[in-house]
Amino acid sequence: MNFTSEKSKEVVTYILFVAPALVVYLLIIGYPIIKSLHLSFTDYNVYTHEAVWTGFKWYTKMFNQSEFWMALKNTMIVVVVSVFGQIPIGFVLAYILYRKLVRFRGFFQGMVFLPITLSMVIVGILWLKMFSSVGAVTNLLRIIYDDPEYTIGMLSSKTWAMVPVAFALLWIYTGFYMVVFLANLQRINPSIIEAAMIDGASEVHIFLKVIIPSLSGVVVILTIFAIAGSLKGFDLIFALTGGGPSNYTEVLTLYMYRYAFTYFNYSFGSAISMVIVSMSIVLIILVRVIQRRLAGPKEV
Amino acid sequence: MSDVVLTEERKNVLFKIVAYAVFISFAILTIFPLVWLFYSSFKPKLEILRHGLALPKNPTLQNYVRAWELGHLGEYAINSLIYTFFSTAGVIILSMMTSFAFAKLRIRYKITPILYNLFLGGLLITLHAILIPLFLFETRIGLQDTYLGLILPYIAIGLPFAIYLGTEFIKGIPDAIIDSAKIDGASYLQVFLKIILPISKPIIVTLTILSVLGAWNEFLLAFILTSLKRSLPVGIYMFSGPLAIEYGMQFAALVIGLAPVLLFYALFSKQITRGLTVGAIKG
Amino acid sequence: MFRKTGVLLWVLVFSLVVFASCAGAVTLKWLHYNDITAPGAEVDVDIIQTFAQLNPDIKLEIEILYDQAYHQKLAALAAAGQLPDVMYLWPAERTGKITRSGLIADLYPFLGDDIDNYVPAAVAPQLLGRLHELPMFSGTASHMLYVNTVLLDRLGLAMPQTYKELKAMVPAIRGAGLEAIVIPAKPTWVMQSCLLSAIVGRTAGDEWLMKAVKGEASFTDKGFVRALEIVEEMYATGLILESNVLLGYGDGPNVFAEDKAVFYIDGDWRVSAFSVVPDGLMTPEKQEKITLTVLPDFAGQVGPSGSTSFVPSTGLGMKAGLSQEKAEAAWKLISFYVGPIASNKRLLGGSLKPPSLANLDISDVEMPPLDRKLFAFYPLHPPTLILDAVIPADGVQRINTGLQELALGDITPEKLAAEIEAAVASVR
Repeated sequence: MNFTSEKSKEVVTYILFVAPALVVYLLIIGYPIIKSLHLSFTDYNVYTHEAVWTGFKWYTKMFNQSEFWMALKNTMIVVVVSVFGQIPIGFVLAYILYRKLVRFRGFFQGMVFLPITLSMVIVGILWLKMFSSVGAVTNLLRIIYDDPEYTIGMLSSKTWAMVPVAFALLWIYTGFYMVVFLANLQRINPSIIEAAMIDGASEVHIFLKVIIPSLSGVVVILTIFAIAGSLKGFDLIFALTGGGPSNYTEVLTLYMYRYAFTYFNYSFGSAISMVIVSMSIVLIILVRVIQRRLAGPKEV
Repeated sequence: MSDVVLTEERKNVLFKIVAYAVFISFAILTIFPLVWLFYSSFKPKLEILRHGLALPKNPTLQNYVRAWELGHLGEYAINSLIYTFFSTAGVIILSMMTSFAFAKLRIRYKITPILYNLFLGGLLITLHAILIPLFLFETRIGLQDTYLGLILPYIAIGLPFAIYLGTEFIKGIPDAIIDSAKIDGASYLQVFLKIILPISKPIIVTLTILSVLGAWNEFLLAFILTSLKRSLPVGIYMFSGPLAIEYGMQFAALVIGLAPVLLFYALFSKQITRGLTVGAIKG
Repeated sequence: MFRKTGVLLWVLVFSLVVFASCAGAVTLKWLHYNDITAPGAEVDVDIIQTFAQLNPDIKLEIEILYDQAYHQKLAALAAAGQLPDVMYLWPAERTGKITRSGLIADLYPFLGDDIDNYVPAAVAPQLLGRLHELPMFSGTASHMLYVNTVLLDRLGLAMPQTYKELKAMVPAIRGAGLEAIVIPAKPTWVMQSCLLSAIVGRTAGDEWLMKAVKGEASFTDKGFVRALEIVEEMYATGLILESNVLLGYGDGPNVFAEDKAVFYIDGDWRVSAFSVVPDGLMTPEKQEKITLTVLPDFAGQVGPSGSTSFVPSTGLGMKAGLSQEKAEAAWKLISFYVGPIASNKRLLGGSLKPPSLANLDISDVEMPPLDRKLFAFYPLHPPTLILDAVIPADGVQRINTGLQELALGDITPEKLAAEIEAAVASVR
């Protein structure tokens, strides 16, 4: 008897505690995602609310557009910079702080981490102004090059326009990875390191056999985080270049924004967003697979 | 012998120089734009135009006054406060409740892993995937440009990560504590309020910081889903976006936009970094 | 008993009074278009406030947006079936999706006989032969060549009469460390609207353009390709520097006002940036030295000499199907917005263009020199079509981004023309 009412109390509690979050979640995320998928397969007339089934028409159109491939390429650049730039550099910085190789550590840590707390749109606009004709950077370069007309060629180059963007991303997000690595490094039991040093292990040896393994789990999580974050990125690039000139710095999210909210083609926009979601799922599965392969031999 | 020592020393020195160089570069990259922005915001428009780098010769407060008035920045700042406060409160309350249920009320429920993964899946969903339907949906039922219309999405978006952190953390709370409380006759609600929440303070701090920063700085959703009830970042973008001519006012607006967060960071940087990493360590 | 009737009577009178005053109050939702940070924005605010003062029984709920944000919001509201009562509209394709959908009221019935008070060009039929918005001005020239004659004199050069002469000036101008033509080409629509349209009007002509839109001609035809080639050439020869593709729209007037360039290309609406009092970028003395004209003639052009790309002006319109009360209130607002009081405010506030009202006497209005020149500009330059007013959106999109690629030398005129033709063909 007690058992039953205990159980039912638990059931009621469970429902009461989970329901609110579930309702909000399904309403805001669940329903729209399904709607988005549906939209991507139809031609939606916004004024008459008629949806005509078009099958894969939008997807075919997308994959045939050079704009899509440009956006894809740019997005991949962002992913690569995040995973192979921000994470390693973040680690290096963390390691330097951890091994106390510089002074003023608190200050430096603060400076590297600060950008993440700012609004990306405002940072984007700020950098836009800095590189504009009245900006600090442009003026500085003009003084350095002694050429009052100097402008940065890379910004308008089809091949190199993403470089300044990648640079800005590095500066902003590396701090996050640094802080996470630092926290994990500080968790390593110092006595292990001491023991290793007493045993005569070299700096490099300790690094490889003690430090790296203890961080491998974190690296995987951070990689997933970096990939998901890169694919979602919008604010900074939107404010900094708007995707321009032409579409040279457009990433997939901006590409979607352009078609959905500038050209009002909501169906096409939905198709693009479906592609973005699929990509993040695929990439993350890939990371998991690689992780399991690498960890494979060790797991017994 | 001495040769080896010297090379070792030189390597160390070299390494130190590089280390300092990297950090100093980051520091400059962070500080220089902010400093330039700050002193430029006190320059009248023509001075900015002609002497971009110089310090102000005729400093003026006009830029701030006009930016504040014309841009309705005070109003937008208050809106941002409302959005941030309520969405943070919402996320914390809802996620803690759900995490408790998932972590401790899980014994018989096969449904928990399903729901849990359902929430986690949200981490993969980009904002853009739901933006269009959400926008159409809110406009149709009149939620567009209301406070609730932005608060609910902020909560929903914060839930996946919050539930992830919360569940992991609460799993770590020994069952014994809860069981003994129940034996003493406590209801689940009391257990939740008197035991779980206090123990979960570190996680709650983390979630609060993440949520506050996220909501305060959020742009795209606020841009699309609000018109009159704009948040501060949107207000500033409208004001100093790519089209604007009035440099002085733009710069002042940017400073106004950055000031709250900079202040927050200056005062609480230790807590922020500590709070954020508590969560990340769990990985 | 008497008391009761007395009380009842008072209640009746009281409620009638309240009801009457409530009935008088109409609320209008208004989505308005303006750049609140630009010089001259206060004039618009003043006009709105004056209307509110003169019409206390009309309550205005206004939202003011600009550029992209405005069009987005409007489309969103239309999509949700929640169009505002009054909104800011373009005469042709810019807001074409909405005006063509029948969601906007025709203003001709409201205008009635008043139509004679307006300049004919302003009240000419818009899309579908209706009048969706009552234009504020007699029209808008999207292409204007602003000339800094001080610099010209300094370099010992004369106004170029042909494109060839203009090109020949480049070495002298660049040698003096100046830019020849500055155009704030960062937003993609600028080159299409303010430059290409005028050139196409000359090298290909309006007749061809309308044929091409319908499919009776192609965008790969010689005249259009020639226009693209000219744009490419302008950048290649340094007549326009590549850095202009990165020049923000708000930065353009500043560069010109600072004597860094001899010529400046933008729309006629930019005059206010220079002339507005008190924050204009040029003093009246400086304004006297600026000439407002258009690009010189191109060899073998088919369009009229000295033409500019032109479109009827924008103005306010109202949602279709409003109640009698609301419609009347909306019409009051719409006609006030272009009426004598508002037009005078604009003129005095330096908002430049000849109003759509005919017979407005400006002789004793104190206007900045550049504004006076603007008034005199229109009769001298025959109009041709603006591309984004007649070409469907898909084609305009390709033109806009393609022009930037063309300027940077990343695409050839022929290839771009073919892509534009394909884009337009897909929706013909």
